[in-house]
Formats: sequence, structure tokens, C-alpha cells
Amino acid sequence: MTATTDRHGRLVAARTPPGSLQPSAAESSQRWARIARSAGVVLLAAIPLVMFALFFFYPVGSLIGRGLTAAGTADTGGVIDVLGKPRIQRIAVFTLWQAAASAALAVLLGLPGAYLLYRCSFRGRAAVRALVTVPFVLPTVVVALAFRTLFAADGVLGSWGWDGSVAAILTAHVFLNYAVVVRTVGATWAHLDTRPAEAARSLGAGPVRAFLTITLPSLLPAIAAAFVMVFLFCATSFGIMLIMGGSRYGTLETEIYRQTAQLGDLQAAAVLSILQILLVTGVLVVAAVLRRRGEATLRLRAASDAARPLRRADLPAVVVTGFVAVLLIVPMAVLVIRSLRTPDGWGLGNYRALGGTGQGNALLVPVTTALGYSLGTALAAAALSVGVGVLLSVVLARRPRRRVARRAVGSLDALVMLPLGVSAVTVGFGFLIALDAPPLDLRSSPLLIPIAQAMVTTPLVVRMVLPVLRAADDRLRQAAAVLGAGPIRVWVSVDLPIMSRALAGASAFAFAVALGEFGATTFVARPDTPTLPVVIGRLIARPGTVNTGMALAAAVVLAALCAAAVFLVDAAAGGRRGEPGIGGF
Amino acid sequence: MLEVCGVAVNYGAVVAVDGVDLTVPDGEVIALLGPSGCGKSTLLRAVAGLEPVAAGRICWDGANLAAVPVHRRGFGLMFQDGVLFPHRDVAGNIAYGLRFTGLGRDQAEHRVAELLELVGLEGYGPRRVITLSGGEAQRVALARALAPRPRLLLLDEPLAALDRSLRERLLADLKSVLTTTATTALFVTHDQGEAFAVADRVAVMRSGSIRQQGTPREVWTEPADEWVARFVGYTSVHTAIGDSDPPGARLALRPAALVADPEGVVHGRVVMVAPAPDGVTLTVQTDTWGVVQAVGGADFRAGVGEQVRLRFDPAGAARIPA
Repeated sequence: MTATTDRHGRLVAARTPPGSLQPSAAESSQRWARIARSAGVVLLAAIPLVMFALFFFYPVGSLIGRGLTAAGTADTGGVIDVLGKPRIQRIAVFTLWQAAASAALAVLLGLPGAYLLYRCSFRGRAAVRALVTVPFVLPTVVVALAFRTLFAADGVLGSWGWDGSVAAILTAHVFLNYAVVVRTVGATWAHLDTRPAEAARSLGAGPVRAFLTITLPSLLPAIAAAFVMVFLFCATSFGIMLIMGGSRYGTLETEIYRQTAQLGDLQAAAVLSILQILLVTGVLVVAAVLRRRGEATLRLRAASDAARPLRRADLPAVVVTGFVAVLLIVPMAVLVIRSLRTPDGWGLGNYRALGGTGQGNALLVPVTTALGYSLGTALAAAALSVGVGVLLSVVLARRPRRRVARRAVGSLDALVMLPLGVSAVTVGFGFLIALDAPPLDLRSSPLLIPIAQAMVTTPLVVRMVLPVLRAADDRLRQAAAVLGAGPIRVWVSVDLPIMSRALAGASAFAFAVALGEFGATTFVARPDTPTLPVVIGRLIARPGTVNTGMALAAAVVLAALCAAAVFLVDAAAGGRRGEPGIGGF
Repeated sequence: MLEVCGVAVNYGAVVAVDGVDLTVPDGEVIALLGPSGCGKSTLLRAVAGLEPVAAGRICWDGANLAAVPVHRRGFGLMFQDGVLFPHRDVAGNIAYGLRFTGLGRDQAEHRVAELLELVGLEGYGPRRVITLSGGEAQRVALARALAPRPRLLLLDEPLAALDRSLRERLLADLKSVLTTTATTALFVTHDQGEAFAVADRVAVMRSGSIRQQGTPREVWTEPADEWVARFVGYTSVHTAIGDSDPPGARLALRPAALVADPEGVVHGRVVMVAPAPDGVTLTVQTDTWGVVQAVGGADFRAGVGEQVRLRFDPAGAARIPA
């Protein structure tokens, strides 16, 4: 018998020549191997679980606990009190309907885009796909500032009177989430079998009827998934709402911020947090049910033979997508142009001012210092979330035979997705009140911000890496194992190469999201160690044209950094072939 | 009557179909036979209106179809693996094309039942298509394509995805359905057995153009060239050495053209013996024709390396024009 154990103490290979061992001994060694392997998986899962427990459930739980108990006893009357307030009810309703409206708009505008960019082939398609993706990786602070500048009374579209309106907020939400729809639906559409629609055509259905009766039903699961994703993003929208909604409009998220940071009403914040968690969980459950129902009926095929050149009938799709492209370009162009306008005429004055602390010393440190701090923080957060995300993905990609283990994997999956829907503000404020006293005093630790950001980005990493691992043909792993590779070797030689592209994309995306993270960082960042989005938020809040100019310049720098990070990695990982890895979760 | 005149279809820079002429008279079944990638499916899709035609005309009863969109051509189409609509049940699939024909609900239901009976699936109407076996799915696909009474039925390798015994059974049923409904059909296949079994005439296609058209018998007995001969089952081609043959003429041989016989005039040495249902199939190194395939009876006993004599049987050979 040749049995070797790797450094995790797992049995790597146990080849038993027939007859050389008693059956009972072979059985027991097999059992030990299985136990060792299970222990390895549990160990892999333990690291992320501990992290989530310490830095997500503990802070969020502390906040909620502190809000729901008065003087050590449960305070249910207070909960009903908070929920009974007309303002809270109004905000809850507004949160829901603006999210639904944003998602519906994004889907309506995104469908023609998905068709054009994934179903048709034309020159410059790769460039248009890239352009469409940019807004999704832009920090919400940047987008909010761009739209505020666009719709401001003295802005390019000031005459529309959209400043601070719901229409402006919806437009910004569509701007941010258009790519989610185009990519989610497009990825399915590109692989959709065209022949059912062709069969319908040959049976006498016109193009519109064939689309409505055959193609659309096949796309519905993808459309529903995109809708849910956009709905969640918009329902938990913070940066956009805070900067564009003013005092008139707010989501539960901005209200949690207002109650904690401005009014100090922890109880109201806790109730709102719970309300939001319930809402998000509800939406996710409905989405999961819909997905399970839809998946069985999809017919997919290789994407290459489905794309075809543009025809005249594609004109409406071209017009709609062109309109959206303008919507995507104009705000950013306006932002860049306005950042070049200083009180003394056109120039780079605003960018030079980034070396200072602003008009009336609005900031404690120069913006350039904050920039350096931002980059370091985002890098650490990206590294952390990719490490944890890969561990989680490896565990979640397993399809155990035993029912209990399958259940455990399923619950873990739901658990790590929770931060996606739990308010970043809640996480940030939870950090502030839970991690500033023993046993865990991280208040002055430079790791506090990266950890907070990693809590936000880890679910995104898992959502990008996991599908790739799950989609990998299990027979590849079996082939490697049959050829003599142990579990670690199989992972390094099969799984790692398969997910390398998604991993590169996920790293860049995590970096970009961490760089632009606003909700949690606002709380955690101390005044002397702010990140760029926090600085921008502070500059907007202060009066003075110099401060506004600096905010615009800083926003341009931040946007450029986010876009560059994503594009460099995408290009390095060979973005030309197949799907770029960004936003495909 | 379908007339295809000088039709060419391009995929980007690739010429998939290159100047094809083909006629399908009313009530006839024409098989388009060729290896995979020869352009036969592309030609079929062009006839259906699913591929733009780069050159030439496709006409029905003399009227050019260039400006007629897919859904107004009145051609039925059946794919290799059914391509049933997954979100409709069997009856819903078959009835899909009927709503464009102006049939009332009762009439449509009646027609669906009629077709289910025709393809041997009575009572399958409410079944979900996911629960069907491959053969049943193809029967439903056939019923769906026939339901609106298409003036031409286009079949794209309808049996290729099925296993052998099922394929043979379905082939017989398909033939009888096409005959009883007097359907005009264009049948694309890479399998010569299928083509000869179901078609009135066969068009052999290679690299985007048609090499030979004729009845199965004509293609068998007078293959147009060496490639066609080999494609329809002749295993070797040799320069004719008979006195009556014109110079340059060649002879295509099937294994049955050479029979092991002590009286035979062709001498050779056995290279390989493989058992066959009614005897053996031999590979023989001959003095005159090099390595050939031959057949032997059940009583054939010679082993590899031994000498053998072969008798020529003209029934297994065809002359290829020079």
C-alpha cells in the first residue's frame, strides 16, 4: 500500500494492490481518508466563517441588539413605535418603488442592448461592450456627483429642473446598473439556441410573435435575475441617495445613516436594519425560487454560431442602445469638463488643489494623502476578499453526496450572500460600536477599513468565481485523479487554471468596489485617515467653489482609477476572447 | 415545385454553398446527401429563408422567394434533435403553427389529434416535452412540422441523433408518413442508407456543390466520379482492365464485387479476415489490383497470409466514366 499524506494531513493517494491488505483494514483506511478529507473542507470553511462571524455578524448583531433592547430588556414597544412613524413608512415605500422603477427601466433599456451586444456582430462591438461596463465599476459618489453637476441649476441640463428629483435619481440608478442587465441577459442570449425561434418562424410566426412566444420565455429567468440584482442594488442605494436625494428623498439605507450619524437614534436604526434585512432576504428567496423554476427549460449552445451581422430590422435596438450610450457618456463627460473649470478660467487648477486641504481647511489631510491611503486600503481589502472568496468558492462548489453536508453547503451559500443585502451603513456603524472595546479593539488599527470593505466585496468575489468552478466539468477533476493527482494537485492543475480569468476579474472588481466603497467607510474612516470617496463626500458638503472644484477633480481621479484597474486586468486576462469577467455574477 | 437555380450562400469569407441547381417536383422526396460540412444544411436553411442568398434564385412554382420572409414561405422545417418548445406541452407544440392558418379551436384540436395518430403518439397531447424520449420527440417534431400542411417539408438530419435500431424504425415510419400525406420534401442526411431508403431521387453534395443527381439506382450503378462512388459505399476504385472498357475508364468495387472462389482468376494473399453476418469480409493483397476488399462464404477457412483466389461479380461493381 502506498499512502502519502499532504501537509494538511489528508490522505492524498492510497493505492492498494489487491489482496495485500485485509479488507477490514482497507475499509478503515478508506474511512479515515474520507474523514480527513471532510475535516479539510470544514477547515477551509472555518476561516471565512470565523471572519464573517467576527466582522459581520458580531458588529451587525451588536447594533441590532443595542437598538432593540432598552436597559437590558427587550423593547418591542419601541419597534412598533418606529414602524408607526409616517416618515419611516414613507421611506420604506419609496425605497421599494424607486428600486422597482429603476430595475424596470434598466431592464427595458437593457434588453435591446443585450441583443445588440451579444446577439449581433459588428465592428467596434468589443469597445461598446467595454464602454457599457464602465459605469458599473464607478463609485456611487462619483456617479452622484456627475449627475448632480449635470442637473444642477447652472448645469448643462439645468433647464430640465431635474435637480434633486426622483427622475434624476432613477436616471443615475439606470446609469449604474445598465451593465448588469446587458451582461446578465446578454450572456444567456448569446448562448440561446436560435433554432426554436427558427422553427416558430417556419411554422408561420412573424419575427415579433416568434420573439414573444419563443425567445422571451427562454430569456425570462435571466431577465428576472437581472431585475432582482438591480432591484437589490437600488433598494440599498446609499451614495446616490445621500448626494442626490437631499432631504426630500431617502432609502432605508440613508435613513439608517441619518438616524445613527445625525440623530443618534440607535433604536430606529436597528429597526430599519432589520426591516432591510427582511426585505432583502425576501427578494432573494423569491429570486431563488424563480431561478430554480426557469433553469430546467433552457437550451444553450456555443455563442459563436449565434451572432450574426446587423440587419435593417435591428434599427430600433440600435436607436435605443445609442440613446443609452449618450446617457452613459454625457454625465462623465460633463464631470470631466467641469473639473477643468476653475474660478480663474479653464485649467488644471482643481487638480493642483488636490495637494491641499481645501477652502477653509475643509479636510484634515490633503486629498493626495487620502488617495494614497485609499489605494493601500483597497489593495488590502481586495487581497483579503479574494483570499476569503476563493476559500468559500472552493467549499461552495462541492456537491457532497450526503444530505446533511449538502444542506450545510446550501446554508453557507446563503450566509455569505447576506452582506450583499445588509446595509453597508449598518456594517460600518456596527464596526464603530462593536469593535472599539475589548475583546476586539480595532479602532486604531489600519486594518479596520480594509476589513469593512472586504465584507462588502467578498460576496461579489464569490458570485464571480463560484459559477466558473461549478460549471467546470467534474470529469476533468476525475481524469486528473485517475491519473494519480491528489486533491491539492487536482485543485492546482484543474480548478486554478479554470478560474484564473474569473479570479483576475474578481480581484480587479473587488479593488474597484473597495476603492469606491462609501457606506461602510464613511463610519469607519477616521478624520485623519479618510479615503477618497469620503473626502469627496466631505468636500461636497462644505461650501465654496474651490471645494466643489476639488470634489470634481477628485471624482475624476477616482473614476479613472476604478476604470483603469478593471480594464488592465481584463486586458491582461485576455478580455478579447469570450466574456470579460466583470459584472458577470 | 421548388426550383433552386445557381444558389450561393456565404458565411463571411467562406463560401458554404456554391452555385447549386436543384429541383424538387411536387409530391417527391429528394435527399440531399453529403458528408458533414459540405453545405447541405446551409442550403436547406437558405431554402427555408433562414440564410441570406448571396447569388442565384430560389423559386416556388416559378415565383422568386427572395423577398418572402421565413414565416410566409409555407415551408415546414424539422431539425436534427427536435427543437421542441420546452415551455409548451406536446399538443401546444403541434398546435403552434395552426394558429397562423386561421383554424378554429375545435378544428385545431382535431388536427392535433389527427397528427398524433399519424405519428403513432395517440394521447400524448398533455405530456411535457421534457419527458419524451428522443424518438418520441422526433415524432412530435414531425407532427408539428406537418400540422400547418406545409407545401414543402425541409428535414435537417431528422434521425441523426437517434440510436441505430430506433433510427431504422423511425425511418420506415417517416417514409410511410411522407407517402400517405403525399408531402413534397427535401431531406438532408449524411447517411446514404437513409437517403436511398426514403428518397425518390438523391442529390450528392460535396464542398458546396452538387456532384450528382438521380434515382438511388442511378447513383448506385453509375456514380459520377470516384468521390461519389466511395461516398455511396464503394471501397476501392481501379483502372478497368477488361477488353471492352474504354481507355481511362475506372471500376469502383464494393466488397461483394470480389468473391472468394477456388475457380476465381484473381490471385492474392489474405491480409485480414473479419466475420460478417453471412460469411467473412476479407482484405486481400492482389497481384493486379493491389489491396482490395472481398467477401467469402460461411465456409471460408483460409487464414492470414494464405493464398486465395477471387471471382469477379459485376453486381458489386460500377463503371466510373473517364
